[in-house]
Amino acid sequence: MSRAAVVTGSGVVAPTGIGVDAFWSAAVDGRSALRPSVRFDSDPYGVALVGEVADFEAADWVEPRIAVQTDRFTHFALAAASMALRDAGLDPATVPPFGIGVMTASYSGGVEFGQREIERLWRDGPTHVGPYQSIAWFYAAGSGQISIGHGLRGPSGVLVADEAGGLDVVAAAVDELRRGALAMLVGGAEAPFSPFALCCQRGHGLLSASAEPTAAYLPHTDAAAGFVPAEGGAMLVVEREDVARRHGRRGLAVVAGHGATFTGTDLVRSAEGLCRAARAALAEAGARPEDVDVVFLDALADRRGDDAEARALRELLGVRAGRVPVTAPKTGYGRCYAGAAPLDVVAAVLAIDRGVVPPTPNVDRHRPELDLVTRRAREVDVRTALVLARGLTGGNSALVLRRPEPARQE
Amino acid sequence: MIRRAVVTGLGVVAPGGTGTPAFWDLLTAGRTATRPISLFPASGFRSRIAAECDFDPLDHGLGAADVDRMDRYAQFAAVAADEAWRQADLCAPDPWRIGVCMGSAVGGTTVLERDYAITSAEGRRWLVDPSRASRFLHRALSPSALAAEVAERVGAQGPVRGVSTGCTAGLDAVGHGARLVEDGRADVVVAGAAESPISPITVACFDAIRATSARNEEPATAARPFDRDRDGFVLGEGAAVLVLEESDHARRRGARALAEVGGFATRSNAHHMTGLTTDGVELAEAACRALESARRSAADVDYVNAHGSGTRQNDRHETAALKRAMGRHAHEVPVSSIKSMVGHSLGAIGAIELVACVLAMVHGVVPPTANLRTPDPECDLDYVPGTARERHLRTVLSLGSGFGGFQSAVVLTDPARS
Amino acid sequence: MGTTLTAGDLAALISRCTGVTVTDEQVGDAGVTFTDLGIDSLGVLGVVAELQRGHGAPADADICPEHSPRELLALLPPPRDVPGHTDNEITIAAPLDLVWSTTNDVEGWPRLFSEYASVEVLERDGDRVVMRLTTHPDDQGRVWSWVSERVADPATRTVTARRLETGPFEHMRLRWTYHETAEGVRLRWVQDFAMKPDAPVDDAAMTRRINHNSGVQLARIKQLVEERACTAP
Repeated sequence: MSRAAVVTGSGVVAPTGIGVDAFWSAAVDGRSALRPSVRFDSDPYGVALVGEVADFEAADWVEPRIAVQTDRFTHFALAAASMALRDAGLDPATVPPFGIGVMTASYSGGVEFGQREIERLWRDGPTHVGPYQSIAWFYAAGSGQISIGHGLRGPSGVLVADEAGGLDVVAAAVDELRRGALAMLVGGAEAPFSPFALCCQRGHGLLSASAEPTAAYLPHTDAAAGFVPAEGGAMLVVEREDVARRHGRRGLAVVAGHGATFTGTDLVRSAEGLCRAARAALAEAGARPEDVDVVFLDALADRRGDDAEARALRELLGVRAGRVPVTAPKTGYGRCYAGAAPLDVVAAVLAIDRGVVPPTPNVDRHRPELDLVTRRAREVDVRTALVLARGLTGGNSALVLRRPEPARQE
Repeated sequence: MIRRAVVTGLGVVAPGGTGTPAFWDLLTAGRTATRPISLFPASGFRSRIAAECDFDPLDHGLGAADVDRMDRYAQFAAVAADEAWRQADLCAPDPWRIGVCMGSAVGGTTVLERDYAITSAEGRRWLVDPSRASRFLHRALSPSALAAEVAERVGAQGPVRGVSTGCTAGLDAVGHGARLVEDGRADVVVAGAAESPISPITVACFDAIRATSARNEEPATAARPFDRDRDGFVLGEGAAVLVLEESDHARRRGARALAEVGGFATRSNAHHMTGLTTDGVELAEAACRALESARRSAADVDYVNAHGSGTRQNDRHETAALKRAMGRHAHEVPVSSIKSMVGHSLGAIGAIELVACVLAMVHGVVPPTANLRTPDPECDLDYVPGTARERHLRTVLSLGSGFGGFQSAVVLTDPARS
Repeated sequence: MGTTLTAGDLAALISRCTGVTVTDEQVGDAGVTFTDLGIDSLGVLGVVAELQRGHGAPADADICPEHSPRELLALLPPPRDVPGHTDNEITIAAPLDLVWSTTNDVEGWPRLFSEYASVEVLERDGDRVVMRLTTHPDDQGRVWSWVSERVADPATRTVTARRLETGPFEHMRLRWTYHETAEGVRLRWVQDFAMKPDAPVDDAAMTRRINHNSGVQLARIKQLVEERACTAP
């Protein structure tokens, strides 16, 4: 990544808070938002707790004309996109016509809208499917509606690689900057909760069945027994550093490097895959493993998966593995599939900007060989952050974020 | 050093034939593979025709366990990937340097719908019954399962991802795959797309917006891109895979480069989720940027493989975009739509069309637009009606346009000239 | 909603389908097109499909955003040409079994419904029952009484019924469906009927009457069943 790409703003819709400030203060305080679903009884699907965005009002973010034609996952994406542009101070109308694009990562699509319409089809017949099903259910609804809503005509796309896709998409957006785009809106949001969608997820076997909010999602502990699924996500504005600087928009972090590998569904093999992805990301960033100041973990909360992640870090960091602070703020709100990694990227950007590493809520007695930040946030001078993510179908991705160099006098 | 992506393997599962020879026969003969829907009882639907694949996975190297695990679209992709991988014939490649980039618009809908009907007692239960779900249902929900299946098949351990930009996903997956090679993230990328949308929910979706042809009495001639009497697209299914390889990597091992993925660009119209502008500005912009990155001008283009879906607005929009991007040359270059023969397989079709383009370059033959009998005064380019045409092709432009407002273009060039 | 659609009904239907708030005046004004209202082709298709399903709009109705809602209204058949049709539903936050058993206990209907003075079972054969229903006097003092046949299918949670003694109706058929949703059981009543030419009320008036009464009765049933669900052991 020769020409630096900087993050100038972000927007968040998370179970712990809507907006960057609410999300960050909850993360720093280690607050938790794992609760029984208010949407339907999830018990038959083997899930007692979820991370739901309880106080999200679509009407606050989406005009009624668009709300009727979109699923909740698109409402989240539209809200996060608006917040990110505002946070960056970027008005798309001031950018040349094809200068800004939007890229999102997606996993489950518009499942609630989709279940409603497919129910009409099977219960009442083909003429009962409405005209919006064709644009609400598919994975590209978020990117499409954001580009229409904000008039973004630049390069746009949708990547699918489960959770790992949430990092891959940030790298793909940076690739577009190198190829001529001036700014990109990038991220992902999920609303994977309809009864049928949860029925599908049950099959991957990694959902936590625990009904105890403080014990349901405990990665890297002996009590690890799956993760709590969540909804939400984040969008970020990533810009060419020179463009941002020219317009007085502050770069909070540089997206410096990315790596991705694939090791299939055998989680044991993800150790090598994660380590290689992290090495590739560091190499692209021009950084060494010893430069890493904090790691945002994938934190699957599966014994084999956690072991593999710890082994990847030992391999990568060597003797420093026990001394580099690592964290997983998502234990406080759950894993929102393709929205999970964008939330981690926002947290990493803020950790760099504010010199604080948020803790891993609810986790206490963790594996000793990692310096997991627990209970309280820790002040750390973060110049280089590494974010890890794994997909349930076998992808391993790593993203390196760095603190921007101070502006040169020109 | 500038890294370039060349094509060293092709595979396809398309209506009318599995494998590139059968596919190419169909296209050059101008035959159509559209017929009444047989995959489910379609009597209550507005559009009851489609281009279906006669496909038995067990005849093409898949085992019972594969069939159990994979949705129909993934089975198509696996078979197409096998064919392309065999042709590329790589000897002990480094698995960490092999990537995968696969496109699809609607993912595992076949299994999702089958299991939905069972677990909901055909729509009577909102709280579906999980005990009746099939074992691999979670892989149908997860669209990345497609790329994962292909990766497992070829032993890829590099970057593996999917692209899901609706109907441009096939072009976008190959475009993004080529970038993985160009940017040094992989030396070999298995790129392509797959779709199996001929199921009640997808057919009902397009019924609801009257996008598909209702010419149910004339299935063989229902898909009529650029014809005055066109009334929508005919749904198709299938998969196509291209093995992309860094050009020096291919040269060093003596592999034949069939074509180079010279350029790729995508733009959004930011206008409407399904509607198109009349002037085609964004599609023209994508075409121009793709040509620019291929270091070619509009006048170099020897053949345009059109999106040509056969909806009233698309074909006008695309004609306008070509005039805008190419000026006078738009009237001189042959433009055709193979959707007239194999239907519109949503996310898959872009990759199927790129395989057709590579075959067109290899054989020096432009496939025709079938069923184009009555010209539309508003579509006044050379659409190669009815009959294939011999022509030496060095630069080929393939266009795509999809829901969400995505507009994409890929430029294929003659690798010998680069 | 019935077959005789007023401008106000259409305005409400358009608002519900498209998310765009539309007034009665806009619907009544032939000069206001869907485009003027900010409704695109998908929105129009959704509105037309809704009118085809419930209000007899022709299957080939070719309405685009350049048309006005008024033109769409004109496509609907005149009220006498099509039979009456009503479709009402409510969601009851109670277990399906309780909703099913309570609403199919026809002997208990005089307590469950506010309109029935008595129910007399004439025949019973498994899930099929023939009964005489008699109402309380309506606001004009008229008492209505008729014989209905009712067939319940517990497997599909569906009830079909028809009047055997049709009175002022040419015919009257009912279909009740019970459907589990996230919020509870959706109880839906679909009625198809036609009035006799000499009936004291026409199709439109009966449609309004049934729609009004269904709303009242469904709300009452919801309240009673939900109360029962709370007190159930």
